[in-house]
Amino acid sequence: MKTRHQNMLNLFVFLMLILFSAVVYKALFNGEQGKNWRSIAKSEKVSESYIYKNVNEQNMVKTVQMGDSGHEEGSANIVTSIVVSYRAFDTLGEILVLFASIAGVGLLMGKRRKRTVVPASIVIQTAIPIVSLLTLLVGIFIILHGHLTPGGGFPGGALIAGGFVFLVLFKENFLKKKILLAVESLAGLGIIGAAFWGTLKNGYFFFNFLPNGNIGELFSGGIVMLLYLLIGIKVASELTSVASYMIGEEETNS
Amino acid sequence: MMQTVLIISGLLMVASSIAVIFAESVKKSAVIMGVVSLIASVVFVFMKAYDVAITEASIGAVLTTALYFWSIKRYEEQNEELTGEE
Repeated sequence: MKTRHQNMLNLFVFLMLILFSAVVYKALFNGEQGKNWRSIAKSEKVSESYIYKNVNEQNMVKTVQMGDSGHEEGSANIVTSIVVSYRAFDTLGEILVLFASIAGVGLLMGKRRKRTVVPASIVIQTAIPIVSLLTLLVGIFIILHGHLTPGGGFPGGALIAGGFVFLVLFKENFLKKKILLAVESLAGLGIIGAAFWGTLKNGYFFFNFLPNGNIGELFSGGIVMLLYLLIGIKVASELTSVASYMIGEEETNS
Repeated sequence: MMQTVLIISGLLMVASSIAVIFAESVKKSAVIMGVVSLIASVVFVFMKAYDVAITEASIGAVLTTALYFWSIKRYEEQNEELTGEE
């Protein structure tokens, strides 16, 4: 789609990208008072402010510190340690509820006759790739840092699904239902497999069979990071397949 | 400060939920429902429940609005096929 202002728009987007990367570069390598991501102390990182593991708001005493090890359970905030570690069985039930609802949608939604699609306006065509890429990045960040900061598999998976919905506005008919189904089944099998592997190791369902590591590092928290990764993949593919069922057009072999 | 923000956003949520009923078309109602979810996510941020805020913003404001729009589109297409218009 060519219009008169295409060159102006391209120039504007290019300038915005340069500004954006300058902001990111300054934050990473030349922050306030000459600090950067290598020289900053552990106690000044963002995730430090979420490490409390204490529900009493009157006296916020830290029960764990950044860099600790040898605790019973290695995630940094208390919601994560309850949801994925102590009560992981409930989370399995939630995933099953979501799976049942998506199965109902797939049962009820029929196919739709293919129609001529009105092309999107130039605002959407310019903005959607950037917005959806940023949304996907934030979703992946939230899933990977599920054991350090608030959030985890469910919010991150929902954000990734939202990014794919934005992409559907840009270009319809690129979601393949078979690939989504395969990814979702593999992630679900992975969760059940992790649970049974813990049973084989120690006799408890969802036993933490990975080393806990130091609190506050990326690869820590034992089984929590693995479970949140699998839950995020499963939720993202399920919600995206709802979108593809609602669009419901026949897949073309082009 | 905290209480005034909560009261103002609560009143906004109530007002926009009433506006859903009196909107002119169904599509406008769907958009106003998304606005209600967006204000709710701001309230969750003020209550320091960040994960719930992210979930509310992504599911309530994006996915639910998209589902409403797709179902409205399907309904209109079925109506056209029944009445024979093209």
